[in-house]
Amino acid sequence: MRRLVVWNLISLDGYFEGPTPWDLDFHTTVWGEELEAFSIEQLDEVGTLLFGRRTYEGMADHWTKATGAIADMMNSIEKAVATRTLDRADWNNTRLLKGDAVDAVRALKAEDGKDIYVFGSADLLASLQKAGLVDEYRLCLAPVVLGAGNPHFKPDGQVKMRLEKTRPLKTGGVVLTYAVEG
Amino acid sequence: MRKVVLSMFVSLDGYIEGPGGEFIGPEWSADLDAWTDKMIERFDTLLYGRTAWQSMAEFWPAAEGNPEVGPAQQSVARFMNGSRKIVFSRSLQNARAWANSSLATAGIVETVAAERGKPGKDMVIFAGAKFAQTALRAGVVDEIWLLTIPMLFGGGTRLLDGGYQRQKLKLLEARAMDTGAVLTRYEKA
Repeated sequence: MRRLVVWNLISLDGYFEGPTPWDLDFHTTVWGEELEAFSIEQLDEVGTLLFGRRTYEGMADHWTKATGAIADMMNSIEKAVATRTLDRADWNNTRLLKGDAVDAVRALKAEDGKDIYVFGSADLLASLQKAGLVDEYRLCLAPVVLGAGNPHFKPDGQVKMRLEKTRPLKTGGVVLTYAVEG
Repeated sequence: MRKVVLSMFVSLDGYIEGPGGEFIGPEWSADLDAWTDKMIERFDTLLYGRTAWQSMAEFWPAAEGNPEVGPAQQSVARFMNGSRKIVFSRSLQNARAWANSSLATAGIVETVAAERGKPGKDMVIFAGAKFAQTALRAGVVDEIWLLTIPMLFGGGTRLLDGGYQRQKLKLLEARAMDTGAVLTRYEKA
């Protein structure tokens, strides 16, 4: 059984993006050498990167034009995109997960291999959380309040977590790692 | 210059109370008690909206000296009862229900500005989501201290609910408690 790990940057007020889609300017408050090294280390552990359609399209657009160590990894790692609308996905090494996203991800978890990581994809995450498919949250808490935006956690039931790690960064970001207890 | 600190518990998904308005407090421990004892030394004035002041006024006066309330809570009770409390309310006639309380005679911006010029320790907002939001939107909060509880409430009242300006913050401290709660302290950058 592969684990499903969520990695996201969120503001102190709990938003993963500002009031408009892809308003991610706040990422600059935490991005730097430390987070870059962390990302590379983390990408080494990834078996499959799982996305919702909207995040997938934005990521594909960004990383296929980018260069550097992280871009190389993002472009070569296996991707899976949960979608009802896409018929093809052109970003290198992508599989389409058609149909019910929860069923498809459950099947994906049952495969052999390294862990599954979800970046962004807040709507898909809400379904996965509800279905109990998330094993771990890694959140980089950015030192900024946005005042408006799209919440990372959507309303659902009560869930207990176990804090595994707390790592403050020089930029003022704090990387928090939680295991989901249910 | 005296500062205003917002110091609250919050769930990982950003809620201060649960979906039914219920209070879900942090797990208490020696670690949290030690932090609370240290924290309260910084303040001599509490700022309240009506709702939180009324519920605290029912609890703290009776807690002090009550043997059923543990020793760690006693120092908090002495602090809560002995500190000055400024209550912002349009409907209260007086603030006699809790010692050392007074009604603000002006709005939050004017009142806080006047208080900053006086000698004394810092001011703190401990309770009340609605009042915390008012203070944030009025721009009077200098530091935000959050104790993040390792739990998703799944709904309820959000603490940092928007409507204020985008603001970069400087991380002052990030520390895990023995219970898995994480204390993060920020000031305006």
